[in-house]
Amino acid sequence: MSALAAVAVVESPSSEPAAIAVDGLTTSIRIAGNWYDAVRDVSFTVSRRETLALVGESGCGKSLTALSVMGLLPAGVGRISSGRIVVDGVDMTAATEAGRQAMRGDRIGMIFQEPMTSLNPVLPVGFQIAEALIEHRGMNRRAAQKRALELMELVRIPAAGQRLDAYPHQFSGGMRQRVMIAIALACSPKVLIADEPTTALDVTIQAQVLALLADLQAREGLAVLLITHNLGVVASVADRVMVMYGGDVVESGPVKAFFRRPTHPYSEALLAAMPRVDRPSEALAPIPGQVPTLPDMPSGCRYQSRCPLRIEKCAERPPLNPLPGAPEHRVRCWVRAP
Amino acid sequence: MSARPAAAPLLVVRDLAKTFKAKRGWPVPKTVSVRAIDRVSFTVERGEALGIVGESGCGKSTVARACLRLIAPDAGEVRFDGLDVVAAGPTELRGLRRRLQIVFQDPASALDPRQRIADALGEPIRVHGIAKGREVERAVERLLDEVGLPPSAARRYPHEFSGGQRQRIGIARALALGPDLIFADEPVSALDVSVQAQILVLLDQLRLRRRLAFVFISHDLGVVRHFCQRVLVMYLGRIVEEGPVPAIFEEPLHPYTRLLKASSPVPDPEQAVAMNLQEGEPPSPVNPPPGCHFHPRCPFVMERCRVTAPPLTEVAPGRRVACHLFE
Amino acid sequence: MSAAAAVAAPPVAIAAPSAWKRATRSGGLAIGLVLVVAMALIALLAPWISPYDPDAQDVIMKLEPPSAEHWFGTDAFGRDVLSRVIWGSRVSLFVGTVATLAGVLIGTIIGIISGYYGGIVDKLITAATDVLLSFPQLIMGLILVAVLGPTLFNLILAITITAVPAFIRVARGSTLAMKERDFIDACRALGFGDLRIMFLHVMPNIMDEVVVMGSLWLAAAIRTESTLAFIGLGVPPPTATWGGIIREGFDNLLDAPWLSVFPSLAILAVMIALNLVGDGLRDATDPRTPQ
Repeated sequence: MSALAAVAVVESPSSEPAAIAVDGLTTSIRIAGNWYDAVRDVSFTVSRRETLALVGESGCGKSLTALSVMGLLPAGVGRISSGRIVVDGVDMTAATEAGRQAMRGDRIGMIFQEPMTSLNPVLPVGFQIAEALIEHRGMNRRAAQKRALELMELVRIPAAGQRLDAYPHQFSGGMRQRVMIAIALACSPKVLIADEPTTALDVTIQAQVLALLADLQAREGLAVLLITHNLGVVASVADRVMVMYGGDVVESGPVKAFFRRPTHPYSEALLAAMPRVDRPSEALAPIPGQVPTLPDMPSGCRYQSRCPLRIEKCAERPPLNPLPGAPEHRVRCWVRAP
Repeated sequence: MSARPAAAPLLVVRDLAKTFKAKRGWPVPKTVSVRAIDRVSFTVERGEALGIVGESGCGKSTVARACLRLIAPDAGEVRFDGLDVVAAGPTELRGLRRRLQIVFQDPASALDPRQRIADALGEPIRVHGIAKGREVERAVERLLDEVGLPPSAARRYPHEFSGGQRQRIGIARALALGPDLIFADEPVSALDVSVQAQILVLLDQLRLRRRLAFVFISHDLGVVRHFCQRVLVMYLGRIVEEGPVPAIFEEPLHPYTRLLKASSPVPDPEQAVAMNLQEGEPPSPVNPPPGCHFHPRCPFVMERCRVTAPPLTEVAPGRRVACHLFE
Repeated sequence: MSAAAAVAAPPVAIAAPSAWKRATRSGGLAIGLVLVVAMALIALLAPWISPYDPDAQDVIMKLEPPSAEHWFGTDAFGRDVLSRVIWGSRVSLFVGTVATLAGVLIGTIIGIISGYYGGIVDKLITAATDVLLSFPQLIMGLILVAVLGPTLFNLILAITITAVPAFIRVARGSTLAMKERDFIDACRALGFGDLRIMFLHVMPNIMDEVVVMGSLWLAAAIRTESTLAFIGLGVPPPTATWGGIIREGFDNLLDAPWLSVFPSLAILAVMIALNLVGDGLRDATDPRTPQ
């Protein structure tokens, strides 16, 4: 920790190894006895103090990507077919299950959409926060409880001291998500994976939780992998964004560049389909049809069946090409980034 | 406004109130009451889409259920086209059912899983004696066509459809009796953005083609801004602001409306959501704060906000706000 | 711990095998069904397949051990035990089936009404159900038959009465769960009557659970009938019933154990078959398995 803090002072992100490095990840899932690639050849890195957002609609593979990184694919149903995942210097794909388990909750913090189902309803929240410390750090109960209180204060739970012994049902949705964040951060991980962390929350509470996450990220120097369907949330908190469709990354780049010039026809369509609170009503342009199921995915570009720009070449899978003059902004499209 | 029957609104709701009671606690249970809606009044014009926005626990769904008499309101008046909905007897209520319909949030739970689509859409037509025999089949086909589904959908069961298609079926069922007003309770919240847009476009077409009125309940300000002409903002059972959509979204007056708008994410990095670390926990509807319910979270709180609830006052034509700042 | 949560809810669209596939994967349901159908056929075809007249006495051939001529041996009156077990299945299965069907019908209707309307109606029905359920099933049947007298009709009536509260409870619980679903509100908004909603919309959706319960209760009803017959409160002699045959055999249990053993095995087979069916159906309709 202290050694890394020293590196942080030097402020040279390029020399620091990425906290999450995923290279050529392909994840398959089994449907009716056959295996299909639900995540295809996905590569990315997330550095410390950086937020990468994986965005897309249901079934695009964003959550499967996160589960792959955490080593939590349901056995027998999902498997990593190829690729390498390195988290905080540890090769997750080469590690044993015990090794991966030791990483989760210790060096990888995780938060999920439903804080109610992720918390044990019959245990006090203070105990649940302390549990991670006892499990991973071998702390004694008293020290763990003391640290739990600090963590509850860190995530700004009002009157934390009195609520250490409260049960999850005595908390509101937003407060429960704060408890989940406290658990995720208990062991001071460098990596935080947040799968739709604010989707179940009301907008004003969502804004609070996003503010908290941004604040904690800055303080703890976290690398955050944010999984979300909400482009508004992406614009507010992410540094870089990857848009997924049908298991493919179709566009990736810095957030500002992406929103200034959304280039893949799917990204464009997604933004045009989103009613906006900041503009007077204009005609929405829905994307025709629906995402094909995995067995029905077209070969080549997976968006071709719904794409207005489709050409013959789309039957081949386009590469993720950089845009001219913007090497970090990459698009997988024969028409837009040939 | 009741003096001009020619221009009378389609739906008039006056001082509607509903309190839910539940026994909680052990070993000595205490009766807990939640004032879900507290003297709510509004009107809906023919062919108009009125939005109701607010966060969970603000009572917006209860308003819809009370207006439809799916739950009995404790007090207040609901008049639909001059007819008293709350006092209606069985025969009158049956007539009202044909003209007032509802579309639900979760299309999976809104359809009977054991019923083919042909029956789900045909049953209301038969029960109300609108058509018989083969005419019902044709009516079902027309309904499916109107919501953009092929006739073959009639033979299938709900689980064979995607979420967006099921929501289309839910809409077709609401249209089956030819209503004048549809309560749409978070109709697009469970759907992906691209499908959400398809449903919004469909609802808008229906509104114009059939001159349908909508009470459109949503927590998503963007969707309301897109779909509605007028909007009510609710907080803990009370209306805090009401007005035409452009005015409310351009210049929200009530501090809660402002907070809602500032918190709503926009796909533009230059307009990041207003993130305030200090802002407190929302109060529970079981035990709302006295005076203005919003005062513990309000940046402009004054002494009297803690004591007296501000009345909903007209600040401009068609624009009402319940806030001591605007009295 | 959060890891467990993620595994419990993988956000992966997994195509679930059909209910039938899931149920028959272990083979239990299939074996159970085959057994049940076989027994029903034996009962129906008794006049044609039983080798002897079940009531024909033969003083010379009494208490014969099993042989090629009398597979299950003969009893103290020289009657063929195989034929009596075959004929006895008719009474046992008939009483059990009729009583269970009646219990399902009455219990489900009352349960749906109770759950659907709620309020005071529900409170009264629930209280009555709790009282009835607090009596052990057998004691309840015993008291009823003792009071009413041991006739076929009273036997069925007594067993039905013991079954009804169990079905009320199942149907009521499922109805309460179903009432939470929006489609019930949709039906009300469409102006459907309560009867239509209860019996055309709620009932088909709760029958899964009722049928599972029914197959397990059928086993219980057959057991109750046999027990009552065993203690002399069954259909009066000379009609052959399984419980009755076991009791008659008891007087000669040490010399001629086959008299009691074979009807007991018949009961055992029915119990196993029906429980296999019940458990198989439960697995097939378990709401926790992905649909």
